[in-house]
Amino acid sequence: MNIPAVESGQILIHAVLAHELGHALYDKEEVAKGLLPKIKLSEDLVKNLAKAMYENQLKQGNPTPELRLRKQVTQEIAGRVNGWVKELCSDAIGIRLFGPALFFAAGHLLTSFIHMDKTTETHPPPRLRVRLMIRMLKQLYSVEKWRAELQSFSRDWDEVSGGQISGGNAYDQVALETINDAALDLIAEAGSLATPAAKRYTTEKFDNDVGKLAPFFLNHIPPGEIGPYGRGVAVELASIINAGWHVYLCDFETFRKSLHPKDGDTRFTAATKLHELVLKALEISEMKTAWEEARRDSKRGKN
Amino acid sequence: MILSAEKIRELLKQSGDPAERLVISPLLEERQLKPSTASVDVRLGQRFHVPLRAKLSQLDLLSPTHQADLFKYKDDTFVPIGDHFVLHPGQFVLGETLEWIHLPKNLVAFVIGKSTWGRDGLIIATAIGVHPNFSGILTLEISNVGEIPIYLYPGLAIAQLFLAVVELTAESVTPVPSAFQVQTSPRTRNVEIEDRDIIEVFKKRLEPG
Repeated sequence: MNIPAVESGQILIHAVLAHELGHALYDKEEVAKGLLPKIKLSEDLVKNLAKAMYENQLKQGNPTPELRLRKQVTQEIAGRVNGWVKELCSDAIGIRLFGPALFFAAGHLLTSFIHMDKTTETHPPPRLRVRLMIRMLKQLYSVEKWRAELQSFSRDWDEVSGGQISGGNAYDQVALETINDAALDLIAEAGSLATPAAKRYTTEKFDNDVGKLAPFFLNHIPPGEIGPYGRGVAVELASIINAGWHVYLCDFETFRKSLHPKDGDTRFTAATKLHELVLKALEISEMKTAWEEARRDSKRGKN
Repeated sequence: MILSAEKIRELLKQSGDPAERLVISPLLEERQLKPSTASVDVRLGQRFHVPLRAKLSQLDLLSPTHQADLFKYKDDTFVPIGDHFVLHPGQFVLGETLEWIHLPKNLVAFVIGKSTWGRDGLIIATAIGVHPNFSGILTLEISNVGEIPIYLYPGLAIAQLFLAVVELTAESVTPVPSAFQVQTSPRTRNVEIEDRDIIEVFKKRLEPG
């Protein structure tokens, strides 16, 4: 996923980088080996498409032999399915790593910059990606207990993701029929298995972050370390980003009103302040971790 | 009443409503609070706001172009931990504390240099008062009044924060957030200069004719 330059200062959007981490794990764990054989191309769909193409070419008087056409169709569709599954599984791993924050960030970028049904040979339509993310969130998180604002956000996207995916060519349509709901569940499962258990962002973590970290943002305190003096620990990156998103989506007006009038003057200036606080929390967390590592190394005599 | 290190430690241990808490974060070493002292050490952060003398002939707080002038006059520099910033004799820069400071409504703070640095000629803050309810990094007005350049290492303890209790009355109200609130890097701000209009009247009176 690319972050447009105009959005680069908005640190919450950077949650989409979880998708890129997903790519790294997809390759490292060799997910494709186990997953792709389970997602079967329908021979009938391939045969029908090749036949239709053959008849069309026949009318124009210069047909490619039907068997060769079938091979070409299979390659085109298999290429799409392989590429799309890789992207979708990277999303699935991203959801396991960053939880709802990836979905919120992806939703923000999708509404702003990308056509929902646009496909390429390597990338599935965003509508399908949202469909997978929503499906996973419903399975992994207590969505029904979320704040009304979040539920409404998710409901709206659920409706959008359930819509018919239009556009694309005939190969895209067969690839879409191949990656059906059952295939999405296989992808979600493979994504979960590829994510180390200790790194998974769980529903318990989300509830905790919303309850304990988000109030710090509302009081202008970046929650980069948590715990009392002498026992403070670095807060995980995913926790900071999710708490930040929660404030952005649920309590933004409260946050805005709490700022100096110049900072809260417009939604943009207030959002900039929130992004700065989130970034500061990430810096504090990183500093805490790096300092402890350096202290350990200095005790071991390492430089 | 100035708080002892033990009292500061007690306040830092408190949980509950974030608004009512004293926060100094990250606190990297327990020794930042030394027993039987009355302050907590704070460290030098990684961002510096460096004046560019060649860009401007003067700074005039009353000038309508003051804020725009400041943009021309200052440049931002980031120094990672492990690297250093060379502060030359007579040089002035804005630095920051590594720590985020949040004061509850009944505490005030004063940021003061450490004698180890002071003896080398380093001044770290001139506007030292931090008001109740403040939340942000502290901007340090750093200058070298010594004879030779000083290396500034982000991450080292460079200042100490003294905390005192504010006597509140029934009339005490939660103040409007200051222009320096939620400051995440050393910044100059376009603060409304109080009494500007009155000084302008005096200026006009001095004009010939």
